[in-house]
Amino acid sequence: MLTVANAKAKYDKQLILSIDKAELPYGQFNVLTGPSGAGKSTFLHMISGQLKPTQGQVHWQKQALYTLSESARSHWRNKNIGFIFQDFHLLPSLSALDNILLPHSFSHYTIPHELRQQALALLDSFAIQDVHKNINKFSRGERQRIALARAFIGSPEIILADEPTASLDKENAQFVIEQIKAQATLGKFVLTVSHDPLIIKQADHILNLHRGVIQHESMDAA
Amino acid sequence: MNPWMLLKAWYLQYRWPCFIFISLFSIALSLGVALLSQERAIKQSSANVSDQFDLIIGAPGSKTDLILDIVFLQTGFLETVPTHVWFQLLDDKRIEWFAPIVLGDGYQNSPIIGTTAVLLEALYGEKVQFPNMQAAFVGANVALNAGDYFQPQHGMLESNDQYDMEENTHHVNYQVVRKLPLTGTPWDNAILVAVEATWDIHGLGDGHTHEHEHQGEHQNGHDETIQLGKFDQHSPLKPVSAFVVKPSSIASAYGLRSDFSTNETQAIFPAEVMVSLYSMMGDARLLMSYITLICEALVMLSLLFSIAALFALFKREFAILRTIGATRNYLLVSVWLFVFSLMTVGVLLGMLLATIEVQWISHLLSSQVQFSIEATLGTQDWGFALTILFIGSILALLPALFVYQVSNEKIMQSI
Repeated sequence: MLTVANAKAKYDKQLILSIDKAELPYGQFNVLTGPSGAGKSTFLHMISGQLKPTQGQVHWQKQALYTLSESARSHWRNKNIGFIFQDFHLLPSLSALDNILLPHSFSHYTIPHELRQQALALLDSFAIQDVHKNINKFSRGERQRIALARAFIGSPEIILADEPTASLDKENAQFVIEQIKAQATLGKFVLTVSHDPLIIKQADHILNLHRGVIQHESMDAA
Repeated sequence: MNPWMLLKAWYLQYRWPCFIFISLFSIALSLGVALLSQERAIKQSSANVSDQFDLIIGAPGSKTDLILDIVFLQTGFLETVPTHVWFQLLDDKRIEWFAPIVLGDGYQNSPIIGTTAVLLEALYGEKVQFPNMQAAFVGANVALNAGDYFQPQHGMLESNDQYDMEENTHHVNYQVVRKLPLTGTPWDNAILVAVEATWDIHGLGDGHTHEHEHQGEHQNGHDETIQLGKFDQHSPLKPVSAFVVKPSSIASAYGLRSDFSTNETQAIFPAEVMVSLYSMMGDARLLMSYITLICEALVMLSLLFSIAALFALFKREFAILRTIGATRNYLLVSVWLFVFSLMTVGVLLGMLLATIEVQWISHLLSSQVQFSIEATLGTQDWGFALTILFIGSILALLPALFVYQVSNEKIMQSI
């Protein structure tokens, strides 16, 4: 369970987020929605350990996230969270395989053989053929699948996605949603920030954020 | 932690900035190193040239002028040495050999030097004799070959004016006997003739006593009756520009220098004069080294600011790297290694370039100064390059710290 209690977040003294209490379960397809500027991305930054709340705390299971040092939070994030972004954020000069393995070079001098095998298997399951090809030579749909593989490798417990379908066509968007949902069925924590109706209608648990405050919470939207 | 995968991404992503950085850095370094090594080579080469002359006796005046005229054959005006000095030298037991030097004539751009065969042996290792008064030996760089005839001119004419040429030409034909081996000194550009010949064409006689002169046997030249280069206390000797002296021992050298430092003559050790010149240049060299070092540092600093500016443009990428788990330390090390690796390549390439530049500049300078300057990169140059690299490794922290100090929170706000 992710628990955010009595947490406030500010940018330049301006209150962006004010969460009295939010509890999000593991094993479900959680979706955070709301209009632009509602604080959705700030919420993601806060629960991923990148934005320390000015008050309150974020608990992952029993771990109070902001009792850890900044460096420890980076290590924790590297080990436990898989991120998926709207614009993929893959390094343009690296191959598909290197992009996937890059986050693991932060914590390993030599990438373990099992991780390399897992990366190849993930790319294969996502129908990415030439894994050594430069990332710029892949289509948008393929790039998002590569970004999915980067988020899933190492089997992190938490998957956070920020508008993962915003730049994709319907077919590719559906593929991405299915893959993220599949991670939830494995018992992982999954949270997707989106206002894509295709995602919202498939969510298990929806949080609606408005001006930094949770307005509405609904279960089993699907 | 392994930053190489990220570095590989940056090398490929910023390949043109990397290329420009390495190019500018290596060019700046190579010029600095070439400059310093060239200065050292000039000093070494000029010392090698002057080493051939142990002691020079000339008329009082500037020591530097005497060296420039005699050792480096830079034609200037030298007062002549009185003839009694010659007689003193003939009887001096402290001398292994000595040779007169008479300057004043030239042919095209080559000075004509009146001397004796003993100097040819000392400078060129050629045991030869002047076969007659018209014989000339030419240095390796003189544009004359064995068998060629030429007419000497008074002084070194700088104009090509026909009237001047006619007016100043001695109507005597010298014939080249042999081309001398290359020595890498200004003497490769010299034409050597018998000292008697230089006196004779100026109407001073040949410096020898002729028993038959009064009997009208002084016919076509003096060659049959005199032994060129052999003089005694009765020879009607004439003034010369200077004497090159080879003392028999170090003690003799100091004794001779002392004895011939009078109102009428000065005796100098060329090496000693060169050392005093070098010590004066030494301060300039130190200053030059510092200026070069500062210039290199400024080049580095400007390049580093360019790199920092480049990274500032791509701060979103750093935010993403932090999001997917890169620590500040990881990015600090990566950025530092990135810049430092570019500098290392720049230093290696710079030293390679410097090797080529040094050869090229040496060749260029050698043709200007008319003696061989052979510059090579030595430990001092590598020391200089390593100093630059060390300073660079510290300066490379600037962009690294720039990336380190920007909090992800700030970046998140701005993107």
